[in-house]
Amino acid sequence: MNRYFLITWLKKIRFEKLVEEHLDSLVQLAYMRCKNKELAEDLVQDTCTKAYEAYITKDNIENPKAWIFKILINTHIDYTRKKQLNIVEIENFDFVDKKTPEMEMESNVFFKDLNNCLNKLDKDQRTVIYLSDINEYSYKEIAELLGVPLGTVMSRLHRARQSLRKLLLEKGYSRSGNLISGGDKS
Amino acid sequence: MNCKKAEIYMDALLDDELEVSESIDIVEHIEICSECRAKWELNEETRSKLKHFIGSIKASQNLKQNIRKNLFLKNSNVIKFRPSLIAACMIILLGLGFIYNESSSKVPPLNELHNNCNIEVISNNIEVLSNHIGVNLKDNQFSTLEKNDFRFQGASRVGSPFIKRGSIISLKNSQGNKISICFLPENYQMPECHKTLKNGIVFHCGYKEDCNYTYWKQNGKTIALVSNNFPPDQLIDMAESLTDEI
Repeated sequence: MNRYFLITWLKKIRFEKLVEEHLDSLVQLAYMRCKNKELAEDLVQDTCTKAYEAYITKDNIENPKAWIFKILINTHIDYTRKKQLNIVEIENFDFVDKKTPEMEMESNVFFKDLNNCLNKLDKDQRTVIYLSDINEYSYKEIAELLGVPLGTVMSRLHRARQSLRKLLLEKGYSRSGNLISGGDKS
Repeated sequence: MNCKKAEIYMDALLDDELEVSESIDIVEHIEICSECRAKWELNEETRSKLKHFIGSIKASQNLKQNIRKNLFLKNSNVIKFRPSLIAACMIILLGLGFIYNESSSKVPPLNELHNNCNIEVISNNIEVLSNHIGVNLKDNQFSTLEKNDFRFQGASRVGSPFIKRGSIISLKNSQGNKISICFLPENYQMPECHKTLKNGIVFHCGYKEDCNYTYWKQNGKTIALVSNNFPPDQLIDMAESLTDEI
C-alpha cells in the first residue's frame, strides 16, 4: 500500500511536470480550436483533470505531449457536442511586442488581421496549421494524433494555407521586404 | 514542374517533407516563377508571423493555480479509497506535526538553500566526501549513477545561517540535468506533506505548492534532502536507490 502511495505521488510529480512543460502549447492549441482564450483555458483545465485520471493508471506513455494534445482535442469535440457553443471571438488580443511603438502598432494591426483570417478557417484547418507550423509536427505525427489518413492531413493543410493566403491577400497583405506589408486599414 | 504542381508540393517543401530531388525541382521552379515565389514568400512570412502570434498566447497564472488545486484534490480522492493508508498517514503526520510544532526555527525552502550556497569542489573521492559530510557514502551508489550516465560534479558546504553543517553533493549527467542531495545536520526540522516506509526507512515527500523536495529519515533524523532540480525519471531512480542504500 505504501508502494502504491509512493507510485501515485511520483506519477503526480511527473504529470505536473508534463503539464507545466506543455501548458502554453495546450492553451494555444485550445485557442486554435475554440477561438476564445477563456474557453481555451477552461478546456485545458478539463483536459488536465481527464489526463491526470488516465495518467495514474498508465504505465508508459510513448509521446506524452501528443497524448495530452489528443485528450484536449477530444475534450473540445465533447464540449462542442454537448454545449452547442456560441463562440465569442476575441477581437482585441493583448499582444506583447518589444519593437518600436510604430512597429508594435503595425504588428498588432497585422496580428489582429491574422487572427480574423484564422477565425475564418474551420477548427480542423486551424488545428493542422497549429500542429504543423507552430509545433512542427510531421504529417505522419499529425495523422496519428488526429486519427486521420496522411492524405487528409496534407489536403487539409494545403486548403488551410491556401485559404489563409487568400484571406490575407484580400486584406491587402503581400510579401515585401522583411515584413508582410499592406493591410486594409479601413 | 508547372505552377499547379508547384503549389501542391510547396506545403510539403515548407514542412520539410520532401525528398531532396523533389525539393530541388520545386526550388528551381520557385526561383524562375515570380507568381509561385510570391506565394512561397507569403506562406513563409505567414508561418513566421503565426509562430509569433500563437507563441504570444500564454497560460494565465489563474489557470496554473486552478490546475494545481485540482490535482491536489484529485490526489486526495485517490487516498480516500484507501482508509487504512489515510489512518496510517494521519497518525504519522500528527506525530510529525507535534515534532514540527516544537521547532520554532523558520525552515527555508530548498531552493533558498541552494541559492545561498557556493559550490565548492571538495573532492571526487567517496571516502573524503563521506568524512566531509559525516555520512557514510557507498561507492556503489555513485557507480550506479555513473552507469546511468551521471558524472560526479562536486560537493559544497552550505553557508546558510539555517544550516551550518549541511553539505550538498551535486551530480550532473551529460545532458546537464542536475541532482542535488543535501545532507542535513542533526535536529533539522522541515515542513512535510507525505511520508511512507520502505525497507524500514522513512521516506518523506515535501512536495506541495511552496515546497518541492524529497528527503529521507533514518532513526528519526532527517539526513538527506533532494532538490526538485532534476527530472522525475532520475528522481525515481535516485529515491529508490538512496532509500535502499542510506
